[in-house]
Parts: sequence; C-alpha cells; structure tokens
Amino acid sequence: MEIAQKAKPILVVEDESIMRESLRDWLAEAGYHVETAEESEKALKAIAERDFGLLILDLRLPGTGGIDLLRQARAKRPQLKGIIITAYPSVQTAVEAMKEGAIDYLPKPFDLNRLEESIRSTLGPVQVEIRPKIATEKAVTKPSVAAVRVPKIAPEVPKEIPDQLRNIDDKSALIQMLLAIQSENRWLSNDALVWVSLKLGIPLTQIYHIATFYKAFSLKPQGRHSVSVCMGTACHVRGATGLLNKTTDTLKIKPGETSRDLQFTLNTVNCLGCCALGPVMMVDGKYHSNPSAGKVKEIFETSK
Amino acid sequence: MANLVATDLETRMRLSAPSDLVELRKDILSRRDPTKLCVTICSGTGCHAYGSEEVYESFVSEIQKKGLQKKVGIRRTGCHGFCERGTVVVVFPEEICYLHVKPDDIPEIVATTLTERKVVERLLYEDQDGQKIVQEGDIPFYKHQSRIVFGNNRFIDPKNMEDYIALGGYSALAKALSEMTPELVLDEVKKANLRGRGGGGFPAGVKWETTRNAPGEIKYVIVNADEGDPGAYMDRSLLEGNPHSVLEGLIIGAYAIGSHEGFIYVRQEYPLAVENITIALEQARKYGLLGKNILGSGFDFDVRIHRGAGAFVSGESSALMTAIEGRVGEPRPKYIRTAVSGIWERPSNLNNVETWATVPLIINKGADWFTGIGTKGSKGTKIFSLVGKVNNTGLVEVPMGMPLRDIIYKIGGGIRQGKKFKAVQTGGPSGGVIPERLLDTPVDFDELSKMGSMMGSGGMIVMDDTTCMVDIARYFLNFLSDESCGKCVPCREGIHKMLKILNRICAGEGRKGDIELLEEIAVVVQTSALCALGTTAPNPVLSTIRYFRDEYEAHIHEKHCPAGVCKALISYYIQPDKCKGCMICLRNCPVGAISGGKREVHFIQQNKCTKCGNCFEVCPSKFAAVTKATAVQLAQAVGNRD
Repeated sequence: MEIAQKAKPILVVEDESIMRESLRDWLAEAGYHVETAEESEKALKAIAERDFGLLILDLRLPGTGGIDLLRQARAKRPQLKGIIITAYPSVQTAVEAMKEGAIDYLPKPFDLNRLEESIRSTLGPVQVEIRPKIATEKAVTKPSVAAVRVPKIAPEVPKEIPDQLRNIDDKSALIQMLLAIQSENRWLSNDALVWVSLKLGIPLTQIYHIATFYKAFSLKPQGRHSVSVCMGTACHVRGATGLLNKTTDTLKIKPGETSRDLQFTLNTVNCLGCCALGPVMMVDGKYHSNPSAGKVKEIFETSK
Repeated sequence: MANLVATDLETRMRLSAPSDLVELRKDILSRRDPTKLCVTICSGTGCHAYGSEEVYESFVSEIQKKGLQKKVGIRRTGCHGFCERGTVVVVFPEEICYLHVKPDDIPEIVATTLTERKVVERLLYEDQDGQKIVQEGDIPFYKHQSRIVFGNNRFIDPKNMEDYIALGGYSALAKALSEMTPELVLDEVKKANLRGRGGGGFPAGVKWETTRNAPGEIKYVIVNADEGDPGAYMDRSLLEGNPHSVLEGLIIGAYAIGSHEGFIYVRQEYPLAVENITIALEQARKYGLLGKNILGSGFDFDVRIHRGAGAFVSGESSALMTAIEGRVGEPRPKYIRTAVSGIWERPSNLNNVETWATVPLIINKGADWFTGIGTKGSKGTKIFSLVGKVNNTGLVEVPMGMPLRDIIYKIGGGIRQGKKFKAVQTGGPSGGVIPERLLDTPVDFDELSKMGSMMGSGGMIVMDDTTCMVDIARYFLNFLSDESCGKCVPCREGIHKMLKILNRICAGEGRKGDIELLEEIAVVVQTSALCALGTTAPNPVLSTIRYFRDEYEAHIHEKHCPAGVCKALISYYIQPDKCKGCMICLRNCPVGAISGGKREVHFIQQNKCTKCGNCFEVCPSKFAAVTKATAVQLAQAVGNRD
C-alpha cells in the first residue's frame, strides 16, 4: 500500500489498545500516515522531535490528560490541530477542549465517517488515491467498502469461536458470525467479541453497537433452556399476559433474567409466528399452545 | 425417501435448455401414479406446534407394520392454512381431510381409510348444523378462498424440488428466459399492476424499472422475509411451504432488472424457513436453475441467504440493506431511494416473499388474467393471517376486494364463544382498527388506508367485546417504543410520550385533555419521523381514538374499563349466589387471597388480590361465579352482601 509521503502524519494518543490499533489501521487503510502513542509523555517526546499534521487525543489518559496534552503540544508547535475523543463526554470538557484549540470533540462510539470529515477538513484529501485500486480488483464479487484486510495481530482463538468461523475475514459476515457464536455458546463473551474485532478489522465499539441492537444477542450467559413467551398481537388479545404471569410465577424470574441455577432464561418475544395458536410459548424450540398453570409447571419440570 | 431424492438429483444432468425442463417434468410425472394412495401431513409451524412430527412418525411405523409401504406414499407438506385445527392430514387421491389428528388416531386411519378405504367420521370437519365434510375444499374455511399463491403448499414437500416441478414449477422462468426479453417481463409485471405485498403497496413493476434504469453495472435483488409484524406469519409459511415459488419469482425479477446477485433476508427466529430455503437453493443450483447460463439463456444469477437477528425496524428497506452489509440495521433518510442506491450504494430492488411468489403466476398466466382478479386499484389476491378471537384461525388467501365481513364470518366462522365482534386490526403495529360499522368495506390497499388503517403485510387480528381498545393502543405503542431504533427524535420521544399517557389512562390516572394531547403528538410524529416505522406509529392511537373515543372517555372520566381488561380499573368478585364452593379457584390462586372451604361460598380478599385473573379463568363455565367488577360495582356488591 503506497502512502502519500508529503503529508504530515497523524498522531493517535490512546491508552486503550483496541481503540488505538483500530484507529491506526483504519486511518492507514484510508491512506493516512499514522503514528501512535499509548501515553502522554511518549507523545510529547514525539511531538518535540517531528511535526505532525493532526493529533487525535483521548480525553482521559494516564498522567497528563488529552486537553493538557493538546495545550503543551500547541505551546511547542502552535499550528498543531487536535481532535479530542472520549467515552466520558461532558459539556465542560468539550468547552475546555475548544478553548485549547481542538477542532472537534467526538464522544465514543463515534462514526468513522464523521472523524474522516474532520480530518479531511484539516489535512485536505488524501493525496494518493488507493481506494479505486481495491475497488476495481474486487468489484465483481466484493464492493469496495467491504474490502478485506488481514489483521496485523493474530490473536489466539478463544474457545468460544466455532471452527467454521476461523477463516472468515469478510466484514459483511459480521452479523452472521455473531449469530453463530451466540448459538454455539448461548452468549457473546468479551473475548469472543475482541477476537471478531481483530479478525475482521472492525472497531470493537461498532461490534458492541450491533451486539446490543439485536434481540438475538446476549452479553450475559444464558440458561441451558430458553423460554420465549410470545407477546404478539394475536397472542395479546388471547391472553399472553396471563401466560407470562404463569411462567414468571413458576420460574420466579422476570423476562430477560436467568434462573440462579442457570437452567432457564426467560424472554418475551414479539412474534413466534404461529399466531393461530395463541397464546404461545416456546421452550427449547418446542411450541406450547395456551398451557394451563399446571401444564406450565410440568413443561419446565420435564425439560430440566 | 430423502436419500432417494438426493441421489436422484445428483445423477441427473443439468437443465441446459427449456426443453430439458419439460422432459424432466414428464419424467417425474411418469414415475408418479395419480391414483396411488398418499397421506399428506401438514408440517407448517402451527401443526408442528401441535406435534405433526409425532403424527408423521406414527404413520411411518404403522404403515410399515401393516406392510403398506409400496401401496401408500407419505409426504410432509407445507402449511395448509387451517392452523386452528392442526395437525391437518389429507389422504389422496380422494382428498379426505382429517383435522386435529393426534398420534393415537393413526392406527385407526391406517386400518379404516388406507386398508378398508372408508372414512373416519370423527376426525372430519363438522359444520354448525352437525354436517360432516369429507373433502378439504368443501370446508367453509377453504370454500370461500381463492388460493392461487398459497394453495400449492398442500401438494408439495418443500424439501423436494421434484414436487414443485411436477406442478409446473419453473415453467414461468423458462418462458421468461426463452420467449421474453427483460423489457417484456417488466412490461408484463407493470401491466399486471402488482403492488408490493409487504406493506406500502408500491407498484412492483415501477420499482423494478427504477432499479433497472439506475446507473451502475452491479444491481441487487432482495427477498424481504423479515416478517416482524406481531400477528402475521404468512411469509413464513410461504417460504417454509413453497420456497421454490419465491425463488422462481426472484430469478425472473433479476432477469427483468438485470441483476446477477440476490439476497434472501430471513428472520433467525424462523429456523424451518432458513432450512427449507437453503435446501431449495442447493437443489436449484444442482439443476442449473441458479448459477451460470441458466437454462442455456446466457443469464447468470445466484442467491445468498442472510439471517436477520431480530429487530422489527430492520424490515424497513434501507435498514435491511444496511444489515446485509453487516452493520446495525437502522434506517437512513431516503432522499435517494434504495432502488437507486441500496446495498453498498448500488441499485437494489426489495420485495417481500408474497410479492415474489406471485410473479411466476403473472408470467405464466399473463397480466390480463391477473388484473381480472381484485379491485380497480388492487389486483390479484392477498394472504391474510386471520387470528385473534375468531373461530377458524389460520392463513387465508382471498381476492382483493372481499368484504371484511365475509372474511371474518364466512371463512373465519364468526367470533369465538358467541361473543360480540368489536373491531378488527389490520396492518400490524403500523395499522389501525376497523369497527363493526365498516365491516362491509371491500379489503384492498386504498380502502384500508381510507379507514385509517393499512394493508401491511396482512395481519388481521379479530377482537371481541372483551378487548379494550385503549389497551390495544397501549400494547402497540409499547411494542413500537421497544422497536424504535432511537435514531430520530420524533419517533423515539414521540412514541415514548404517547405511551406514557396511555399507561396513565390504563392505570386510571387519565386527565382531561389527554386525548387531545395524544392527537397532537401523533400528528407531529406522523409528519416528522425518519422512516415508515415512525410515520405510521401513531396509527393505532389515532384509529382507536377515531372509532372508540367513548372507551377513552370512560377510562379517563369514569375510571371505568368497559371491556374489563385494564387491571387498575377492575376487581375480581365472586358472586355468592352462584358460587358452589368447589375449591378450584381457591387452589389456583397464587397469592392465597381466596378464603372459604369445601361447599362454602368463597370470598376474595381484595387487599391480597393481585388481579392475575386465574380465578376468573378456572371457574367452571357452568357456574360462572367469578366476575370482573368496577370499583363502584364492587362497593355495591359488597354493600349488598353485608
């Protein structure tokens, strides 16, 4: 990959390795020259030695924080521009950052396109166009945005990852991979998500965005048996609330919870898709149509 | 049988011309004897829930035991639609239809029907006058339908492509590829005025044309099988029961549009649909109906399956396409339509399952035939999921324009337990309710919109006088506030505020002016939300206010829930003169709030009662001693007793 040599590099200062490396990789792929530092002292040293086009600074860093770092850097090189990123946004720090000459203030998780806009407005467009090259090579089978990139770190594969996923590196396969991990383990562990993030080169924040958006994913371990009570309209008018009460009474857990012995996880779902039989619940893939309180008890007993 | 089919397929040559398909069909038919006995067992999701698998296994073992394997065929088919009476078993060639079949009934069916060739009377459908009906087609539920899209389900084993081809499957594709140019196919669909069956009713042909004419070499076609509407399951049943019909429609569409890559976006919650469509794709590839140079026409096309992870908003076209790209399925503003810039910013044409499955029919029988069915603005038929408080629940397919009354009374068999009809809800969470006085309106896209509801994907939920309309509005808003992606403010905040007001009304804390406030917020959300989820979200509220304003007023001003649903506004009360002291309710009370003993009149201690309604449910209907009462009625009743 050829990089524009004339453009001044971007310095990313971030203590969290995943964020730092994701940003580095993404910026490099976009055609920028990037350097990184995990703490302020190292960053200041680098700034003293050479010139940078732009600083991307985490607000909270061990030692000197991002805003102070920006002040000190600009004291050395007044033309330097900075972007503050943070997972702890507040109006106060945003105002402070702007006063210190920050050109943008982005709360995490942020949209990469938004960051690129900011960078472009400061540094101008990337001078060497590398994207069309990838696009023409892959255009027939794979569009440019999903261009595959081999991760620089080969992490150890966590035990949660099913074998068939180990060689996938297509970004658009993300949701399908998460579904496979979920169905194999009944939840998505942080280890598994970190691995997917590195494997596909997708920032972890984006993966968490997806993992928390869809109902199919769980970030907590699920019980051995899954109980879904349908709350669809057809079931609602035929007494879904009553059925839900019967299950919560029997299992002594609320929807979304897992029983202490990790036997059952109870969920409400919006439609099980067999509306003619309502009210319905599904236990481990088996449907039960309008069971009485006694029958509910029996179903749970026999599935243990 | 499955093995036989698999090897059969593998040894067969690719179909390299339309004539090969005709030959194959002849060959399949020559190996089949139409007079042979065949037991078909509905294996749709409804019947599955009733235990159709066990019924199937019992048939297999019983037929083996009696040594009838050679004489009798067994086939697991797609959904027959009459889910209320599952498991449905039909014995061919006479089409004797048995309902509510349980594994215990199998020996009798095998002995009587398959061996002695007589009918098992007790498993037949019985109409209101006690008349037994033998054939499936004569049952009123089926008699008034016209099942042109859905009807083949019952003849087909969805895992066996030969069944589909035997019925003339893929002949429309052969016709399109060999006799028609893409433009002609497009013209035919436009002339048929096929409107999208997924909700909005946008003309499919116009959408196809936009994608076809949009700049860019690479274009995509997509099947939307992300059926998230609570109360609707027709797309699921079609995809599960007749996957090849959907696939055939998709290939024809791709040909007309000039697309070489397709996606099927199907809900993860529909495992059987995922399985059956996966098998269908494999079979189609083996026969050369997918891949390079389909039927020797030079046209290339293939399909990928994408499983959705369960979010209602992801069924919206732009959100669905974002999800296919592997990102969070949130909608985006559609200043440029997805038909022009969809998946990876390429022209993408999305239609739902039922729309695609209708396409082969139009190509085979012509646009004139199709426009002969239906109303002025809405042509063809529509599959509805007729559910709720109606006697015959299930999937029904009727011509556009059939009055609601006919669907509910002639096909649906009227309201359960002789109760009074109150309203029917159509269009899912984006739709509205329709009251009794509008029951004679013909059902089509435009008429439903005029009534403040919509076609949606075809959910039709019947409600009786024990359904509270304020509670229904609250129910839908609760659903929508869960499912709103939160990206735009009017939808996220507007729905939340409306829900808060409705919760207040249902809890007996409604205030004067709440109805007007709801109407005001509704208009704002309708006009300013980003995607269709938001702009249609106020429909359930507005339509219930429009037709049932008196119920809202009763809740707010009299603190009274006429339907007896809103917990805070009712109490359970045992009528002393009717109670026989049978102890059933006492034993079923989860909090021990009922006092009394055997043959002693029971009494509910109101301060302990959690209003779960168990006592009301379990009290034997011949006594009907437990009633729901408003606070005023309760005070009077208790006063009388003292």
